[in-house]
Amino acid sequence: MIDIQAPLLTVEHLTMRFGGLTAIDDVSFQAGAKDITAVIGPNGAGKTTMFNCLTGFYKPSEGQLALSRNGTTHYLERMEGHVIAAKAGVARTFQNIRLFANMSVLENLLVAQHNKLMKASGYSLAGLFGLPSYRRAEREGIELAKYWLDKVRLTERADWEAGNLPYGAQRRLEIARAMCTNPGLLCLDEPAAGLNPRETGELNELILSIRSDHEVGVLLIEHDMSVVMKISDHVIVLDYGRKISDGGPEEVRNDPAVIRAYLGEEEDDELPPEVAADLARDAAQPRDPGA
Amino acid sequence: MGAVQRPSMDDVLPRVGREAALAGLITLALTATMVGLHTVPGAQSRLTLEFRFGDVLMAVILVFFGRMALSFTREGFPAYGLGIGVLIVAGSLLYPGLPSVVEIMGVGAGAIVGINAVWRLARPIRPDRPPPKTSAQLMDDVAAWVQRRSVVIGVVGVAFAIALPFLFPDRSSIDLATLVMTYIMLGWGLNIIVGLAGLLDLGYVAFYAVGAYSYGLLAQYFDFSFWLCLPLAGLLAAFAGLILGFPVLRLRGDYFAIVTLGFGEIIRVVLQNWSSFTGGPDGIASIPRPSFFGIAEFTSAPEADGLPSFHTLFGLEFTPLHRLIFLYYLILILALVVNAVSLRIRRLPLGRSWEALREDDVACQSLGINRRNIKLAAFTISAMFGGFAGSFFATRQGFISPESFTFIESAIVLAIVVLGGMGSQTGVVLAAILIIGLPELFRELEEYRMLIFGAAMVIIMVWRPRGLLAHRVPTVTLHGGRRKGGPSPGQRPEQVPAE
Amino acid sequence: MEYFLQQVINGLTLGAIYGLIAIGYTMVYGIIGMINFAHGDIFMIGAFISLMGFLLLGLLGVGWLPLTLLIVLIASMMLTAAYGWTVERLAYRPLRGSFRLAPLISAIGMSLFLQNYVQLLQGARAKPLPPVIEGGFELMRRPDGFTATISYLQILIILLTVVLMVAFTFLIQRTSLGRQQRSCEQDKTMAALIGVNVDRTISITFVMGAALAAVAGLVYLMRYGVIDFFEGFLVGIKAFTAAVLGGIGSLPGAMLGGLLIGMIEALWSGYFSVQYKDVAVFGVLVLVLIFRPSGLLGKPEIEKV
Repeated sequence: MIDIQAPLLTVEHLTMRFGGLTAIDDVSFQAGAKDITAVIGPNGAGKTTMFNCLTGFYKPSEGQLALSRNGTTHYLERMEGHVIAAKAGVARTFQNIRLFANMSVLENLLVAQHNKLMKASGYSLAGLFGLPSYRRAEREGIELAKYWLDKVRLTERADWEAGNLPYGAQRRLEIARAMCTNPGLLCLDEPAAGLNPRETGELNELILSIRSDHEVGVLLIEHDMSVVMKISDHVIVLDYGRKISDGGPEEVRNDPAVIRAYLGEEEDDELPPEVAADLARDAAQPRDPGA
Repeated sequence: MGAVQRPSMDDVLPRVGREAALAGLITLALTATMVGLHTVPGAQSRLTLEFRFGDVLMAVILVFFGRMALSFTREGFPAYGLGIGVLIVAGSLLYPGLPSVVEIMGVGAGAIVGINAVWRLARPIRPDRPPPKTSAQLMDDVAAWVQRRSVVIGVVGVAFAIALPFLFPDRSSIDLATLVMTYIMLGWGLNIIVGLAGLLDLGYVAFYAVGAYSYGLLAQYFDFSFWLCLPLAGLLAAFAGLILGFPVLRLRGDYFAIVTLGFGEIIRVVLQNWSSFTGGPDGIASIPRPSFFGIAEFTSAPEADGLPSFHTLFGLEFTPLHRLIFLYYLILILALVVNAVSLRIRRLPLGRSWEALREDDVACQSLGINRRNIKLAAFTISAMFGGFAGSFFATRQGFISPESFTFIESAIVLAIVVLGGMGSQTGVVLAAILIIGLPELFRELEEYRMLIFGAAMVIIMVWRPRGLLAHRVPTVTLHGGRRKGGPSPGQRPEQVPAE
Repeated sequence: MEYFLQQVINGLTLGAIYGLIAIGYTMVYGIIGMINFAHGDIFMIGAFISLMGFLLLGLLGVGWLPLTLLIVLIASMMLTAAYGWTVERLAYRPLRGSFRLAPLISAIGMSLFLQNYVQLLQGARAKPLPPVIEGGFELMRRPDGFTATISYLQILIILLTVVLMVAFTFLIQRTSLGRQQRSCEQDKTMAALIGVNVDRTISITFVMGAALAAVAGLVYLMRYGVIDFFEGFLVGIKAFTAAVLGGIGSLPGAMLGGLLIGMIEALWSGYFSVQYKDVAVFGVLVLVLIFRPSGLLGKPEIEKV
């Protein structure tokens, strides 16, 4: 267990049920400000469901999600999805990329600054008459977009339709778009999926530089252990909706419960899920009291 | 198909024959009753049947050979396809005593399969070359060309629209132009919600009705003038949009469409049955005509209601055309305002968020965009423009009744937007001229108008689902207008390769 | 009481008709997730074909009523099914994978086309048919002379609907065809991988929906004795409302929704106002979609992220 000095996100007893199915079962953890926290686990462990709870796409059945930003604490479970992004500053990317495919790369980044620009355009009235205050705001918006285009190496292709970009560039653009909302917490859902080793290396650099240059904590779902082990400060392991391990990358790597969850998958297939989950919990028990 | 060797006729013939026979058989099943039997009133006001089996036979023959020609062309024998096409055309023209409808259909069908064959003859598929552009891709080039020259086309178009009453100074031309312009305005108004925000509104006519009845009722009960009612009608329609929009906007795409249709019908049924207030099916008659901006009236007498008449004010000869021309310019200005506002909004954060919403509303929420508010804005603004158009309609007709606000009217406006190209302002103009203008010019076509339109909607959806002239240009560019868009849309690879 | 009973019987009959049409909406929605806007017009075509069937058999001198009914029923189901098949083949199949509003717009185009096709060929006038089956049972009599009756025709309609429903449920739950349909509903790609012919299964769905709509058209024609080219629009929307109310995608839901809508319409006309009966149904549609879009028996949908 890592001792977190300044928690950015505190998740307590998060539970998410769909009808009879419990996708997340009483998960608690903390993520530090300016930390890269990885959430890993076998398929169906509830990682994306957890992201959906954090970003307001699902309403958690139970639990509390507290996010501190600029000294205020936001309780995400009580907020509407778009307010979470706008006020609490939680931005995310999606497992299967969700860009505005028929809009240009630059436009994608401007849409991300919607709330700021909308206010500057006087909710369209000032914009309709082309007042200078709005034109200035738009220029600033484009400047910010340019900064991120540079950072993800898409400046050359700023006027392309986003849907025409190669796969790796789409992944980077989605991260840039999330960063244009000026978030405090960036949630990346399998950013390395479908990338080749070189692109994965670049992605690692990008995430590290985002963390070092901006006041942002990163929460990362990833299957690619070369990403997780290299860049994360803190790893949380989920299995069948429960947390089975929580600690530094080295610590988690050597945790027998984690090894069993990953390597024991074939075995688990023969066991009913409840039994498997029980086993996993038993395995995690001796380590957990400190949590 | 990719093989270098031509498929042999022996392989192809049975397949082509089977397809043609199946198509002929289906046509027989479809037409045997509906075309072959004609229900006509007989003795004692009972129905009886007339037989039209000749027509059935012709339909079957036409479909049989048409399908055969298409199949031959597809299988790599376009020459046969062309031959059959020519035969169909010749047969339709030369066979004595065909009804003109059948003749037109035969010539049309023959021409289509013939052109299809010529197309393949001119651009054969070769394995060693990239596949030739499809017709949809060529149309996309046309749309891109139109879009790039939209400023020139716009200026020329507006100049022509301004000059029109002087080029054709007769009553029927001006009436027709006014009618077309009304639909252009409605199309532009609906384009905001359908083309930009991607929400299919099947009840747009409701706001048109609210605008029209606002003016009609305010004029009837309170004697308000048109110039006061025009903004009021827009506001009331916007308000109606806000109230109706609030509950429905969280619905998914197709449910949203059906609910708007439901609202449209509810408003119409209420107008029809609330006789004491709205006049019921008889509607509201003698709605006052607009004055010349409250300065002058269009009357033959030199003075009316304390205002001078238009012709004495400007020292002209009196002619009833003055009012018609004035109405035409009025709707032209209203339409241009709608156009200017929508073009401008598209470049603002609001418009961009609409388009983003159309592309992916889940991503919008993740970026902190309040989906409900921006949808509501689109719905309200669109409704307001519908209201303006409605009050214009009321003052131009001088008479309104619920019959003018049926679902068909919504469908016509939707067809204009869909055919012209969702989000394309030029496309709306073109489609309005085609859909409203042409049938008025060719009165014989009137009967077939809705039939053609229904077919056209299906064909466009199959061929170019975003509409004829749909082509998106970015609202803002980093590298200027130079063509830097990467691969053009439609050519986007299914699976984008990694870098 | 007598009056109420009469309204309930009328509502049941009407509801059976709506239910038969609603099944077509619900099956198509279940399998390809589109609102087949032209389905109401398929119903109208079914009624027209039935009308022609009666007239033609009359001219041919077939007088025995059960035989007439059987021939008209089968002919109408088959020929209407051909329309259902063709509509799917021409207007919907090429649109799989197109942008999301395209099928609905295409369906609206198809609906306009079919209406005007029938209007052009058969005229705009409403077509009357003299009663085919007359008479009925008297159930209750009020002192003032009002009697509640159930006609033989109404009994026939309800029986026919029940039989079709049973047959249909069997078809979906017990046959390989039904299994293929349900597999396509779940996951088309996977169904194709394990050897289900997806295109054919979808075609069959349209054919079945159209055949049931033809039955609805036949009994509607016999019950109300008149049909015109525009009739399908309103009846179609009401049947769609029934499908949504019952929970779109659910077969028992479609039947339940049909009965409820039939009842609402009959009771509303009986006790409040005939003019506003359509408003009542549209109101139900709007309210259900807003407050319970998954309907009474449908599964709630979770936004997939």
